[in-house]
Amino acid sequence: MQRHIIHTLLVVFIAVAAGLTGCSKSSDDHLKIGIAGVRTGTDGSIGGAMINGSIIAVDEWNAKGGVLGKKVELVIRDDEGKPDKAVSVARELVSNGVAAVIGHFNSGCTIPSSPIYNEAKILQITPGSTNPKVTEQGFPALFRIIGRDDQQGTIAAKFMREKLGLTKIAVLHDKTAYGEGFANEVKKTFLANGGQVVVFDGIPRTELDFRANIAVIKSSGAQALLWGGMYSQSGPLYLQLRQAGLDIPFVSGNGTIDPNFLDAVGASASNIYITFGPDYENLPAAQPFIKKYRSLYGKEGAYSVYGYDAANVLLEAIQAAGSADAAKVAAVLREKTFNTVLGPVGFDAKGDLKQSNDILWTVKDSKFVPAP
Amino acid sequence: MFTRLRNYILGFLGLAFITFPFLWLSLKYNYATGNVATVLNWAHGVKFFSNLTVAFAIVAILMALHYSNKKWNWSHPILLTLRPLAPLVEQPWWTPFLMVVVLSAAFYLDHKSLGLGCMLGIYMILALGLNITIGFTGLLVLGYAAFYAFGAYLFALAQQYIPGLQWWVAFPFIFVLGSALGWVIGLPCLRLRGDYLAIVTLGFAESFKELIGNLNLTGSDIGLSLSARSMVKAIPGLTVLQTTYIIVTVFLFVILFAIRRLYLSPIGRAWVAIREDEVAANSMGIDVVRMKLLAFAISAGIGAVAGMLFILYSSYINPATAAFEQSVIILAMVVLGGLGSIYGVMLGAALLYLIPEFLRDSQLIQDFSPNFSDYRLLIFGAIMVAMMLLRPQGLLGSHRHKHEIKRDT
Amino acid sequence: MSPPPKAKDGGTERNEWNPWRNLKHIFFNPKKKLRSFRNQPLEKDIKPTVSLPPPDIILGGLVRGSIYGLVALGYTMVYGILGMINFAHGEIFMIGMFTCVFALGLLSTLLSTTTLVNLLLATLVAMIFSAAFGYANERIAYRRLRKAHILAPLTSAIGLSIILQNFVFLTVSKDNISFPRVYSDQLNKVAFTLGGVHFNYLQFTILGTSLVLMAALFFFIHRTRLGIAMRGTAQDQLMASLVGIPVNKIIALTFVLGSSLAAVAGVMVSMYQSVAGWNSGYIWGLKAFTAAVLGGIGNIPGAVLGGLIIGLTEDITCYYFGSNWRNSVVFLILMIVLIIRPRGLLGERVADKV
Repeated sequence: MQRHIIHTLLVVFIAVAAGLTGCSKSSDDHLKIGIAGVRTGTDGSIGGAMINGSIIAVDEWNAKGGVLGKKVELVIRDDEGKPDKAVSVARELVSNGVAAVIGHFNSGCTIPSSPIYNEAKILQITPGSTNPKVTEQGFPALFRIIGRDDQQGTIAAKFMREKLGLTKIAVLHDKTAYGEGFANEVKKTFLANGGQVVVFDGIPRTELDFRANIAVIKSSGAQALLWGGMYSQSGPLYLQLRQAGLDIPFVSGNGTIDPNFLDAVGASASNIYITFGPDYENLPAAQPFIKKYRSLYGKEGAYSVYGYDAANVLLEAIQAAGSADAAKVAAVLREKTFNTVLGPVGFDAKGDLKQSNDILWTVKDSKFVPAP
Repeated sequence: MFTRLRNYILGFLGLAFITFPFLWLSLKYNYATGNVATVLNWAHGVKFFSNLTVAFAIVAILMALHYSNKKWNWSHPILLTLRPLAPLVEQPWWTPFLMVVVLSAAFYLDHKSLGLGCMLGIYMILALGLNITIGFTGLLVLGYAAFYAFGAYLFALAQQYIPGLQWWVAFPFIFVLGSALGWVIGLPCLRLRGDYLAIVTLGFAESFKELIGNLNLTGSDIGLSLSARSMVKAIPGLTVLQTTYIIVTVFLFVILFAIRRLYLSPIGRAWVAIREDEVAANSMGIDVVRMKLLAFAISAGIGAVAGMLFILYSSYINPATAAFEQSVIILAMVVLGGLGSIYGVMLGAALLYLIPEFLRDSQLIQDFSPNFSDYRLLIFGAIMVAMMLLRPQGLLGSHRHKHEIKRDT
Repeated sequence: MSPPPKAKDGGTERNEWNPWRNLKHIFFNPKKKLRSFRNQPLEKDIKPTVSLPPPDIILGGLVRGSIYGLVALGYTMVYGILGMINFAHGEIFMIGMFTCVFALGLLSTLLSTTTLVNLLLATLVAMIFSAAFGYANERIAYRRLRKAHILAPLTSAIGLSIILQNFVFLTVSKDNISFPRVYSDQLNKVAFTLGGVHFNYLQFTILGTSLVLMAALFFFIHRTRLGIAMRGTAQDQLMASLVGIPVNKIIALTFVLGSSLAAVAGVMVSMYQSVAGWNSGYIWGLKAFTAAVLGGIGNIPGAVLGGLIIGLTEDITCYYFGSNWRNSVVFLILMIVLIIRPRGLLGERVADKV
């Protein structure tokens, strides 16, 4: 009797499943845009702020009547900052029928997911992945609206070697595609310019006690510390460096730009240099966006404006191309120059920014300010 | 016990049917203004329910397989000559149809469902492999993901030196090398009691993860990415993903069949005897050391093959594959499904893999609240605790486990 | 029957195939080593071949180790009594961190002072909260599973730890929160300088507090009635209940004690690394658990010893080989110790149950 019931249930289930999978395809007159980023996990807050920026841009376009006469519908997916999840998110977005994807945030997620978008002929524009390898893969419809690590690394290394006149530096990184890539670029440029890298070491993402690394740096006599990693570790690293009595410059990349870093280091922080894009907070073009963002979500993250720009550039290109076809949109993206919040933006053949707009920042009175 | 289970399922189904009409009405959240409006959205409701149905179907199929232990009467002299065919025919009558349905899913499933299917198959293989050591033999292994990552890295590295290496060439080598690694790790571990064995395997997995994270050969922490096109020769007329799905499914069937035969063979009985009482098993003439090593080796080999399949699917590998969390998730699949129960651990794999994915992807849930997917891990943890409290022996406990002597208190 | 092939002339036997020589050639070729040094001429500047690690490495290792030991006590006590691994213990440690930071914020606004008394009070609050969490965990997730298969409570502990992590992640903060600098700066002063190396009061405070607490726990378990009841329960729950020991209460007490010690460790860690994060419980918990196993699980001095060894190994590895290798070395040592001495360094021999 028991088996009987089970079998009946089984047959019913299979019938219903087969019936429903057939009719589940929905056709609507929306233009679907995917956003893949990180909302949970260690990078949850900085990645979430990026997604919010894109949402604002899309809402603005929808309020104006949409793109190509269609409303834009967002499909937002969380890749947890993990490469394997990013692959399944990419497949999910592809089967969801998105016309283009904004994302992913981490370089480690963008690299494995981009072949999937490429295969499905879907345009991808990343607002946060800076590892050179992302665009070096040579995919025709992959763009990034942020400077590359080698551009950033050159700025940081030249600053230390030429402006500060240092000869010996220590380099630490967080063993991710972003952190290690950035650290390697700095090391390469610094060595090429006649400097010495006396410590080069990786620290796991979850580690927050750096006393041993700092002791090594201290005994090596380094004149500056370069940190390739995210803000969650930058704060404690800076503080512990100062507590050990080392007042050497603390140089870092754009992963450190986050209000959380300012909270952690406190008001007395000094001798910090960070490479990042232009100062959007004082740009007049950015004021409406900042106002809107703060009224909706509170204080914006460092990548919110990149998320906003990426969405705007993408939708503008789709509008100009007259269709959402990846090849046509890519051609428009390569030709045109777009006016964004961060200034005019154009893309080269690889899909990188024609000129990186990165500058050096410093921390003063608990604020990020452009370095003098 | 069965009636209670049936009640659970019927109750669950009833709940689904009662709440169903409400699911058609989805909430539309306006990001810019923060307003919430009610919208009638048929498509999302259908999709939600069809997802749910697929999940229920998987549960029902595995339960049906679990509870049907059909034995034929082979005593007739004519039938006796056909006895060697017993494993092929002693299945529920609908097994061949099921296999055809699952295989042909490659043709009618969409891109995303195929991806889910591939990963689900890989997790099922992993759960089946770990079940050999933990469920059958009673050896607590906490570092199973290391073998998984070992197979994946082996295949990825081989790909780099021998471009275009096909999976069917690599597969026997990966199985043998994975088994050898399992043997080597198992060898010193046999002196250890259960929990210590767990810790040593955990230590091995962590060291292995750090090792592949530090070597330049293995792409350090960034990992290796390969091209799926060169690895999988697509069957004419099918895409690469469809071919991968078929490969994974065939591997799942073969491994499932092999493990079922092993479990019922003298080796499987020896494993169970060791689990129940090692001293008694030894005195009955079972070579405990050899049997334990065999369990270790086969389990590790299956893990390595699953790693190879993972590379075929994702064409990307990084050290996080060998992370402790990964081992723990596989372990949880085995425990949740029912230690030592073959269809049980497959059910555990299905639930633990599909629940977070379902919570992530469901558009309906996202309509209710755009931030809902952030809560999925919380729900996942709660489900894990609740299931353990309700059924500590696992969802589909093994028949033989019923007779296991309870741990004295 | 041809004679075995000989070397063409007596002197060139070295050129014959000789596995041992080849191995030596691969592994110990001095020329090769020199070449690798020449490629990276700077390695020599950083790490002289033979030198003792500087005192700050040793002290840092001891401080880390003492915290591992303190957290490991919770693992080891629960294991000693229930024979199960409490995987949610790291999360209790993390709850302690966050409670302390909140309590400090509350206290400094309520009392409008920033003295170290506040810190003590906040630690007390954190201990109480963590103890409550530990007790609740035991009641909800473990008590019903006490007689089930050993893996059942393990799985439910993993589920709990996922719940607690995500609870803090979603409700409190997705980022690390900073420990109030007003308090940590009071302890983070330089106590003395030795050869250009700064020693903080905080480091000595942590070391001292941990050692005192460990000693107190040792005294509690070996000299008080409750401690004796605990040891009795660990030996045989049935017999203990027969002689009138309230077994359930004793087990709850174990969880409460372990959790409050973890809370103290959490407070000190968040002060030491200046931030508290929702995922710190995992990494510290895993290492502490390793420490407990290394020292012999179920053994209290063993947990302390294991913690100190792991802390020191980590930092010394970091000095000689770089922090890339520190986890590898720790787990490698654990594996070797367990294979040579399966019961851990100080563990007692436990007869296998038949």
